Amino acid sequence: MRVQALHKSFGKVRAVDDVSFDVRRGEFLTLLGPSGCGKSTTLRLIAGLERPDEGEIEVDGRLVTSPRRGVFVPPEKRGMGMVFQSYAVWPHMTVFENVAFPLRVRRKPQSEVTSRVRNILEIIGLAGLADRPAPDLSGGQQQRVALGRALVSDPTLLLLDEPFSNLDARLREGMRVEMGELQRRLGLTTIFVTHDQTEAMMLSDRIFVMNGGRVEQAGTPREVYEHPASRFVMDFLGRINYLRAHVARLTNGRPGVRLADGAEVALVVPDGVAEGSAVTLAFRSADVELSMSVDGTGWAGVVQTVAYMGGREEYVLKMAGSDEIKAERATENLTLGTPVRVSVPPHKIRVWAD
Amino acid sequence: MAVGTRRVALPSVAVGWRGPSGSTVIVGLLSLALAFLILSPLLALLYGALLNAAPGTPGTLSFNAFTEAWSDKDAWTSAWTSLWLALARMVIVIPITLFLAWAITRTNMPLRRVMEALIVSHIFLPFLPLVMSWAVLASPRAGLLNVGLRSALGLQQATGPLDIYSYGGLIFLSALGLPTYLYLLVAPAFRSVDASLEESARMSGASPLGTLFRVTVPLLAPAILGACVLSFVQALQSFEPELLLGTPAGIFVFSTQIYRYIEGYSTPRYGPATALGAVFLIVTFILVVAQTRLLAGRRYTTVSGRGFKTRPLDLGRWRWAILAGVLIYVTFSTLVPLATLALASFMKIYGLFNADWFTTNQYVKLFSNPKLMLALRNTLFLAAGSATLGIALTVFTSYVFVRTKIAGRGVLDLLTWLPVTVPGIVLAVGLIWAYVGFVRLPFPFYGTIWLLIIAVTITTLTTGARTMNGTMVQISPELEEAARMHGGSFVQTMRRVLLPLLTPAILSCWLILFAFALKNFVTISVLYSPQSVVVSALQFELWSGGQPEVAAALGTVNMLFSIMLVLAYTLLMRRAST
Repeated sequence: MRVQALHKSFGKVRAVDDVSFDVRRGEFLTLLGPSGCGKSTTLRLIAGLERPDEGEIEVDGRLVTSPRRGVFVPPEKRGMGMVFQSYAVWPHMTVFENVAFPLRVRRKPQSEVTSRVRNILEIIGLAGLADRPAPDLSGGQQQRVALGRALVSDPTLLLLDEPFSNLDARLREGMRVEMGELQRRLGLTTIFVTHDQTEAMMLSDRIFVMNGGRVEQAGTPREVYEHPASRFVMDFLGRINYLRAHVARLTNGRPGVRLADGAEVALVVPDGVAEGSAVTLAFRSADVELSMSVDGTGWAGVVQTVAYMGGREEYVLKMAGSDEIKAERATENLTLGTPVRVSVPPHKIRVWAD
Repeated sequence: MAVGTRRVALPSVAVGWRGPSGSTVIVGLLSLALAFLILSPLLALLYGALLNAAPGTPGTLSFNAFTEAWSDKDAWTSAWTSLWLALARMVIVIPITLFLAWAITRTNMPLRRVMEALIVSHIFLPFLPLVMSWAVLASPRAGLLNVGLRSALGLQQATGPLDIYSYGGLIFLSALGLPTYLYLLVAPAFRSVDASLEESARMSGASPLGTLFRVTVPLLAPAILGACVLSFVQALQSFEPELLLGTPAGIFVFSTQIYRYIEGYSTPRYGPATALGAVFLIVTFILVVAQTRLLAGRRYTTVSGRGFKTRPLDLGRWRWAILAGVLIYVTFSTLVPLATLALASFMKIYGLFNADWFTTNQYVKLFSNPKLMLALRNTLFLAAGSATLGIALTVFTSYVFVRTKIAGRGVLDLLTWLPVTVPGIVLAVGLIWAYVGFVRLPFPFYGTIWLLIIAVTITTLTTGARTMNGTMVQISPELEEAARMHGGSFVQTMRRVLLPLLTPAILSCWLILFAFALKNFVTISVLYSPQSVVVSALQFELWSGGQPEVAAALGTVNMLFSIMLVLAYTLLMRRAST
């Protein structure tokens, strides 16, 4: 599947602004971003539920959307499956009827409908509930019905629009694992929209982080997490600490930065940032290392709050120059007011010019 | 989201039985008063039908009234006419209603909000002036439309081709009026269909038309079925057009037949009037009960919280054609009759238009009419009184029904449903039986404006209760619970939290009930006396007393006032939505 230079505006809002990407067969691709970033609109453009202002969409070598060439294939002719955020399970039908719908509208013979729907209900684990009216289902069961309905007609492409956001936390975790397994087992090409970075990390082959209608970064979960291309991406993917610093030549003559309390860190500074200019150091809470030896190396800080999270603790540390950082550690039993030394492996720190 | 389903414990009510507390006693007394208000005319009517005497005179139990009605050919004819006319109206009215609701709620037709405002405003407009106006537009000889059509089509005949004084004319008037009322019922259902239910059908391979018939229509089936029954019941209860246009043509339906039994004879024939009323009371009651039963198991909550959206259907170039259709409807249901009536009130002879005949004399006659001032005063008092009483009662019933766990609250809600099943003329006959026949009051009541207030209030209860229930369900009980937790007493919580939150709904509902009282003629028609004359009654007196021009002038004044009500309502709604 190929998406080329997609544009879509609602009034003055540019919902999707020059988005292009390719999806390989069998790939699980995630559009990740905060609400209003254009990810759902992109999905709806692919589905054909929305018409773009500009750009082309091609599926399996077939052009399905191109305003320039006057091509627009309606959603029902695209052969895709979609799971909606609200599940959109039809309340006037049973589980069986819901799942059978895509086959019925394609006028498949009754015997094929029955066997295919049975098969799908088996896969999604609802075999015993075939005759249950849809309104009697729980949230998790409704979601399975929505998934079954999307799968039953062998879609070329499976579209998932925040499918887990209406489930409670425990159920969500289970469904995630299940959906991931199912996708790999059936080898489905999938485009997944979510605002939850954990979901995105767990399931995706590739993640597209979107912001303001544009793709900020594309890459494997590891690439995006460990080498964020912008402050926005880094911020969105995990808990981030910020420390103010200045670019400086260190006492040993190597380039680096100096913190407010004079501590020095040897770092690669972005090109074009002059000595003495202000920068921000960004790093994840999980990468913060603490040591109690007051005279050891590292930056001085004081434990300000302690939150026990079950198996690990989260500390807020007050650093020199009134910056605060958060550290997550396995329980170290630090008490309030304890002075600590903080260090972060230099390759885990990213430097953004202010 | 914790909206609506939870109930607040009234002080001491939910904690188990500890003897009747103050609030229980108050709730009990108010419920009894409400039950008396609604049930007394109905029970009096049913009992009166079995007495062989006029209201207020001693009689014995018998079936005389029924045998008298049974052997009267007029009663049979009117009953038969009522039924088939209602059926014909339903068949015409439902497709129009569905078209309007679909065009406004589900498409990207231009000017949707304006069209909706115009349609909704129709329920504020009084019946009599609209009917009087159509008498001018489509009377067979001099009707404006007929004159125009004859010259356009080159017809030589002196009458026709249209005749409003006919079955067709009556059906036509329903087609212009009823859909606006039913629209209010159907539109929310149309709006509540989650667009993703339709989109998922498209994604599953269904064409737009397939989606319409496999998903949209089945989802809306309960609402459409409900609208069908309601339109039938409403058409069955219709009175004003039949009285003004049907009676001269010798067409009688059961409501005008009852009116004729009471007003058309030198001594009122209460026997057959009551018997006919009792029969139709039972018929409409059964219909409404059947409707609620029919729909009880089939109500789909399609709104699913997050991710809910309605995306209008893109009509493309057709949007202008659809708009034209809606515009024609709105023009003929509202604008054309309004303009015609206003114009006719400035003519020397009603129904004939000629620039030389322009006169303001009708207004001079109107304002020198000795009954006018009394009628205006009475009307304002009646409308304000019944709207206020109706709101007070329905705020009470809604609170008890939606928010408390008091046993029997369902019965209270059921009571507020009852008035919609009672044809206005039947309610009036029931009130005659109740307050002339059975209830002896120490002060004059029958024939006073107070009786009219009671009568009109009963008719407003169903609308009021539906509005208040709907609003109350949307206000989270947690808002009240929070007030109680932070030290507010029950009364303080009501006064400082719930009532302010309800205020917009109360104000807009008050305006609607006020307009209902203003346009009501059917319930008042056999109840008013010279001292309790109101504007609608005066209009009818002038009309049937050979002064249709003056009636038109009064109708125009009435219309202008109703338009002011519409504007106030629109402003209120706009402020509430921002």
